[in-house]
Amino acid sequence: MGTAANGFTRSTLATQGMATPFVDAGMTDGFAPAPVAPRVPVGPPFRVSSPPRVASPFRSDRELEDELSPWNPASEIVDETLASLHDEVFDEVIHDLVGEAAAMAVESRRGDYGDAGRAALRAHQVLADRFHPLAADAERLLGEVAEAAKVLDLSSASEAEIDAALEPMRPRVAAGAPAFEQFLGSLFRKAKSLVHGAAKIVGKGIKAVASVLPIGLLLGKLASFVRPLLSKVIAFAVDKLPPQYRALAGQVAQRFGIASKITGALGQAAGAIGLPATALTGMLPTAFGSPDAPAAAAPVNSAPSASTSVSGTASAIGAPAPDAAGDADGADATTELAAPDTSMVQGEIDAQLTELLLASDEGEADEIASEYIASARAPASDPTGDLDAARTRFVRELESLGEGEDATPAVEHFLPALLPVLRMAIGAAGRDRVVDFFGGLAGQLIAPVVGPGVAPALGKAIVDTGMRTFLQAEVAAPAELHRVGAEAVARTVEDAARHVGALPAHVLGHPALLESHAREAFDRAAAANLPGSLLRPEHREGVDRGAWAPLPRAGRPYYKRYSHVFDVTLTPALAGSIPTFGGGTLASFVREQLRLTLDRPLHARVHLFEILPGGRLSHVAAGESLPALGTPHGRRMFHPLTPEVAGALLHHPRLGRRVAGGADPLRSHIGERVYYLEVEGAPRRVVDAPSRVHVSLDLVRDEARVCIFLGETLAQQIASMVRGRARAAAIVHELRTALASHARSLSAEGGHRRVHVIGGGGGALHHRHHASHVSHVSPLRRAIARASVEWAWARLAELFERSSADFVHAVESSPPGVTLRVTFEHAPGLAALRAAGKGGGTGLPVDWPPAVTPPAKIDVKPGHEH
Amino acid sequence: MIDPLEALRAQLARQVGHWLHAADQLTDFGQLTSEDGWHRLERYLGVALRAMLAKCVDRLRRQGEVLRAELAASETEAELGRLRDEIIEFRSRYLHTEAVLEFYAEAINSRTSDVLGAYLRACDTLAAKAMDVALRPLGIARPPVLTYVERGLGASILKAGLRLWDGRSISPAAAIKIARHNMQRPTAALHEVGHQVAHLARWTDDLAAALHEAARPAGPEVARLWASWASEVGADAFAFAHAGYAAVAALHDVVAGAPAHALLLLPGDPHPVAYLRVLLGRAMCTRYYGAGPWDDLARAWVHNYPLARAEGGVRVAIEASLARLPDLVEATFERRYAGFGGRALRDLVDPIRVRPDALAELERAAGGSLFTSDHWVDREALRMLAICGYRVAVAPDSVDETLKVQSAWMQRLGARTEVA
Repeated sequence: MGTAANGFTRSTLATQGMATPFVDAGMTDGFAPAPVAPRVPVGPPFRVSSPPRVASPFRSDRELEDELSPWNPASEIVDETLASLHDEVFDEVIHDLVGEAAAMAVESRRGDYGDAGRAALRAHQVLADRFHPLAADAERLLGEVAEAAKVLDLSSASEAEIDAALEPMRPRVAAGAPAFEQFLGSLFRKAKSLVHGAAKIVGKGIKAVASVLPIGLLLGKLASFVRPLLSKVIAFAVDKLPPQYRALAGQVAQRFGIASKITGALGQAAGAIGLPATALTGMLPTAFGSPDAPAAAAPVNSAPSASTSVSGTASAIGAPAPDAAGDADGADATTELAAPDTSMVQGEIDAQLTELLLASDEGEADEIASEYIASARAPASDPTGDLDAARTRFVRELESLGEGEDATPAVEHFLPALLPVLRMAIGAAGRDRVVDFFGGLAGQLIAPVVGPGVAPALGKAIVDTGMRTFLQAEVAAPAELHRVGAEAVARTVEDAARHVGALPAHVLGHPALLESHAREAFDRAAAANLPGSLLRPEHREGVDRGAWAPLPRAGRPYYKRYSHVFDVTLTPALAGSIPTFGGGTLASFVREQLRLTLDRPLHARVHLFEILPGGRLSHVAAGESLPALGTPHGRRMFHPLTPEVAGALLHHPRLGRRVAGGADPLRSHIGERVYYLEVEGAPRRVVDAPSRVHVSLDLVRDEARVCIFLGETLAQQIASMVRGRARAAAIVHELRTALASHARSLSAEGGHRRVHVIGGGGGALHHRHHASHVSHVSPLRRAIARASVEWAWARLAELFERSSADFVHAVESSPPGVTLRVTFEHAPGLAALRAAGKGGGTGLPVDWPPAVTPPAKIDVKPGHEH
Repeated sequence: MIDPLEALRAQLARQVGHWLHAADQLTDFGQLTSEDGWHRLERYLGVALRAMLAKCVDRLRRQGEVLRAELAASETEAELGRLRDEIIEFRSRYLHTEAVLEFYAEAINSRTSDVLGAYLRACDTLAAKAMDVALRPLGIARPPVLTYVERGLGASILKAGLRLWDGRSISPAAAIKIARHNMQRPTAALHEVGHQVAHLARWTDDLAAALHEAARPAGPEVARLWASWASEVGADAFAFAHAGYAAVAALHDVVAGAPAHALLLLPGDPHPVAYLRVLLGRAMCTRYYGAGPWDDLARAWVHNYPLARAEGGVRVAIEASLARLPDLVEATFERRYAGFGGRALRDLVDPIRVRPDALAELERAAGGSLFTSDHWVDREALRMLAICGYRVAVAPDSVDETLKVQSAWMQRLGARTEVA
């Protein structure tokens, strides 16, 4: 046991309760811990006052709702229009387009070791050049749609007539086609929705909407959005945060008396797309609070999507989701979005189109459109650039530490850079105390692994831990090993600081509690960044010789890869019990997307990854060369690694990470872990879209819609049964069994993304914002949603009994997969939900569930229709 | 005039320089193979081939460096004499290495367009799927497959795992030649895959013994002949098990040449006499499918190739074999083999799955989606090949239409495979 000049030894630390998670390995012998005692804050604890809850009288009928909130048809039009414009596939397409552009940007920078600023500019230019033809194709497509739409009389045209007139313009997009082609397909659907939206408004004959502008003009405006939209995509791709369209068109909003609703909700949506707190202070209205304001009073963590779907608890970059920040039990959940949320693109476009539909004249429309176009010309911000630079400095400072030198100052230099991306639940003064305390604590805890004698050995240990295959080429010299070690220590400090920053106010304000949580965070961060062999066994999260390495080594790392690959045997029972993104299970993934049979155990290798700040699943997919990876589209090959999954699949539950609000493949969180399943015999290609079940509870139209997308495999299997004249009961049984986990997931964590509420109690925008604060679907919504799905099975059984010709025709048509939309007009339970939205009771009707299945209208369409 | 020893040294030095430079040139695959060709390979196959070729050239260059060092160290006439021998040896190694490179370069370069590239990737996939069916239950790793197009009548294979012309490199992939005329009917590739499977499972010797036993009642000479044909009988059986009657009809069309050839028995030829091969295929159909269009094919076959035209000894052997065909089929498909882990060929690849009624059932189940859905293309590509081959065999008037359908779904299959 070494004794440093200052007299401290590791045993001294231990007696002070400051044991580090590191083993007393020979590597650290001779190096004493830093001599600085933690500077524990002594200030008064903080109090966070919660807004008082006001119980509303329990009345659930429509009349009461009208009393509470006078019916505003224009408001409902906004809700309805936004709902009808929203297309969840559009979000995916934009995400993939960003991924593809990011991969192009990386490619354009390959081998460029010059000035980073210039390289970024060049990448931007390369992308602009590559996107130019896409923009031209998109504008041409919208021009053709406009020509076809001009002949329609929107006051009398039925939905079917509109579809028939526009369908010939639909671009043919093959399954697995590049994102560019998918984008054109999505844009077509958006244009079609715009035409339908205009027809609905015209059909309603609302006084306030004297007339809808000519559809050709509206589609022309949509065409004018294409290039600004693609500019934003490019900004996302080069790790910038594109400027947002914010509250606008005051005239329109005020004319309809919905100004506060639109401006507020859009502003919040803008604030949720990943803006760091410092930027928020400068850009958002004061109503959104400042970083110093208590989280409970600063609703910046609204859903990241300005869409009708509830977009999870995803928070702004660096800001913990409210439920996690306010609940110490949720402290082990990953809460921070890793990269700006690309779904803002659709949110903005939908809001723009809605405003255009409500515009009174061409001048107003011009004004609305020009504001959006102008927003795209504003410079994009760089939300994590400062942090990247600070991290680099921190690593250098750690590298330059002398023998036995205290690392605390280096930590303290680094922490301020983290503050803008942390949204701590305490005021500025308390924050300084927490930072001061954490700096001292971290300085001591990392003492055994910093310094010229130790850090290279740490680097070597990391490299030796099975990582030679992907690190050796770049790492060989002692200086490089030193850097690898210092980087791991820096990431340990950063991860721990992020975790501490997300702690609730009562923990941050209590010294003993704070120290306990901070040490726990440090242990956890060390386990996530340093080889298991260097940690005490009780702190290891995986195999002894496992370690995480940031990748890619050249340039900005977006993810980490675990050095150990697990061999697993996937039995049907195990695969059926492991949930994956979107409500499916590993079993459905294997059957439907890998198209393998699970009638016997499959041998698979499990590769683990962790998302770093700035990272998306598409970065991991593009950066890896495993089968079906190597391109951003491979993102569908990943599955969320929760502690439960890590326990069941790998027998190492600590390798899993919980994501607040449930994992979402389009919105990765910092520290989120995913895995890739390398299954023997799986095809080496990008997999198709999985089956999904969504429920829309539309309070505007007073209907519940169950939207079931059958992926191509399931659709074909059902079609085979139909052709084989299987009984309707057998077909529905097959459907229910295949989609059982999807139905269950409606009420599980993350289920709120699959149960949409439209209108009522403040409109769709209100619901988006409101719902962002909960990761679970409320019991009322859950009950209605689940009942709707059960009703849907019953009505589908009748469809298959009656005639399946439409279904078979849709299966045999392009695009792949089939959408079954089952609509229940005046569905039971909606009145109660509407009342609950107005602050009324939250209970179900006494006669719930209804004894009779409500009547339904069933639409069968090829492909994934929203 | 310089010293004779120096003069000798100078001549050798120039040759060393020449061959080393030539070896260096081989490192640039771009001189042999177009980048487009590489990009039309499946990604893992491309990686495996590049790695093998790079290793092959690197080995040659290292040998060249030894030569250069020896040149520097050689002083006496004897030493220079040894060096001269080594240069000659190096030339030979160079040519062998070049042969390796050129073989693969030509195979890769045969993917002359994106359309052909996708089509051949589909052939790669079909061959790989056919191997997987047999090898996965045996726990044997499947090698990558590289199909290529070349002129000629028949297909061929350079099996994975064999030593290549340079004597050191190992073939990293099953390289299967598909004859250009048969590109749209690639069941012959399944025959070649059968060779690879037999090689990996070490089946051929056991099959030879089984065929010998089954043919023994026809006499020792006939039994010996059938044993010597085991590798080809096994490959034909494998193709039949995967493609059914389509494989038999395609084989018929390849071997239906001049009567002299169909009735020719070449000493040492591993192929059975073509006359017997076709009738053995018919016997396979009869064994598993009963009566059918293969009976007409057999009738026409014996009509077109009267045994009377066979050479005396060959005719005797053929006649003696005819009665043994059912037993030979039985021995091939139903006997359990050690190489198959105690299973029969039928247990690994069941020909019943491609019986005409089973194919019709697949067509009914998949309906209008059969050739257009990625689901069916992924799941049933081999049986789709069997369906198209069957249609070609029984509905010759619709050959064009059938082959267009086949070409379209194979394009779809190939386009979905990730490329290098």
